[in-house]
Amino acid sequence: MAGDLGAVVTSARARVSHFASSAEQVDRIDLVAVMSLLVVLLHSPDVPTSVLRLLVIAGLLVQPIRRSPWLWLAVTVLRLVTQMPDGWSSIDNHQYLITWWTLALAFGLWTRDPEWTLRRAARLLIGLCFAFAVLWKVLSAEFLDGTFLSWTLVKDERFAAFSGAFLGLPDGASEANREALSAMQAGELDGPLVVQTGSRVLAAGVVMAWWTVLIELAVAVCYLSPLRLRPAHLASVMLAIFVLTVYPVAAVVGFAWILIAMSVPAALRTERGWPIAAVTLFIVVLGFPAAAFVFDAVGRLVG
Amino acid sequence: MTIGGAGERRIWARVVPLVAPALLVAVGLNQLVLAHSEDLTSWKGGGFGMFATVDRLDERFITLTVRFDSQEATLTEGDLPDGDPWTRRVSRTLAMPDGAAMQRLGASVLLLDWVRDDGDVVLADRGPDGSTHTLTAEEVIVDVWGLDFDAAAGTLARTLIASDTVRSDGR
Repeated sequence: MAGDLGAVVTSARARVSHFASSAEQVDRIDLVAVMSLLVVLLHSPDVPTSVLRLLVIAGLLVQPIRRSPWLWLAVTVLRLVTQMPDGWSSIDNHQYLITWWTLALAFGLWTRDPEWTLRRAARLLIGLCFAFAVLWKVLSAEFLDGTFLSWTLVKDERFAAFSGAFLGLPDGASEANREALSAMQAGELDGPLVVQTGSRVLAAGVVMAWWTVLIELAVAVCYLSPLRLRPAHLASVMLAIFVLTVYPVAAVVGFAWILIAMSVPAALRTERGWPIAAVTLFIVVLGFPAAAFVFDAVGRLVG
Repeated sequence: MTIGGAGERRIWARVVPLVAPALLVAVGLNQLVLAHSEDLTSWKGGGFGMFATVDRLDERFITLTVRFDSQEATLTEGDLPDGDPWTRRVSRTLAMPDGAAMQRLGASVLLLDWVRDDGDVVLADRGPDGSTHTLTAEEVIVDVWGLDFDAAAGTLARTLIASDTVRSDGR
């Protein structure tokens, strides 16, 4: 019996070791190039030019093209040109991050050690992005007291299934709140209106707010830590926890994808299995919008 | 082509990875400043303030009070003509309602044609067929509104973010 158990453990160790060594052999530059091209192709604003699409598809199909800094410089310039007419003040934050990253890829691929250069750039970009996100949330009183997330939970259709399943928001309340908001925006309602809410919405808003601040702070600290310190080696794990706890509820696939793509070159050698874990996460995130159906089904069962 | 000969490598190796992060910081700080000085929404503009405030772009809205000789008409975003220039002007004004954006939107509204319809003043394309006597607007008040949500009371009210008056005589 003990011998059988020992054989199982030895076999499992061998498999883990084989997995880790396979992960180490992954060409991180090529992997991040493919992931980044997918982000640009599928999550650019709705004004991508046909030239940009052609470039991206060529990059996906031909390895030397996707490893060329000229491709990434062209992608960066085209993204800036196509987004600027809408005005820089109307562009989503993750679109900025995607553009900063394509620029980092262009510069990084020009250097003699792209892996080292991209690791530094990616760690700084992820860390700073999270540091700004934390700063905004700490400066916003309506975030820390749960007001913002309470409003989001009762109004945003992406949260409707979650709020219905777990927070006592009545059926149809989220839609009714959106209709009331539309009436106010159309000038049909001037005065304050009563919003339909659930018994646990405010408490959930406070808990979610503080969890978000804590996990975002952890990600920022880990990515910005000097590499000799322990937190730097936990960065990928923290990012995975952030993605797995935040995006099933707030499914912003484009943002999740660019963070996961950048995490590949950002990972340290000690985080041996991360490239494969990142690919898995990249695919898993695609299923997050469907989490609404799961929340809805759970809600009906609980209800 | 690669950057970094033997002598240059140390400098380039240090500088190149910092270019994109430096841009992120510069744009992020600029967004923070403009959000506090010019009411730029936290959700846009590269400062990573999304999911931090109720004040998202989709929830801001505009009312335009157009004054004539002895009457006035009120428009909302949905009353404005369709098309790219209008969409951009409105979007820009909503995202950051500074003087320039509100003046530009107000000036465009003043150029619209108006007619009388049963005692009211309406946009010419919504007036009765055959109306030829168009009215000239004297001024327009551009108001940009946001939301004030009281989570404990469960109430929602509108709150004025910015207001500006644009006159047809340019004063």
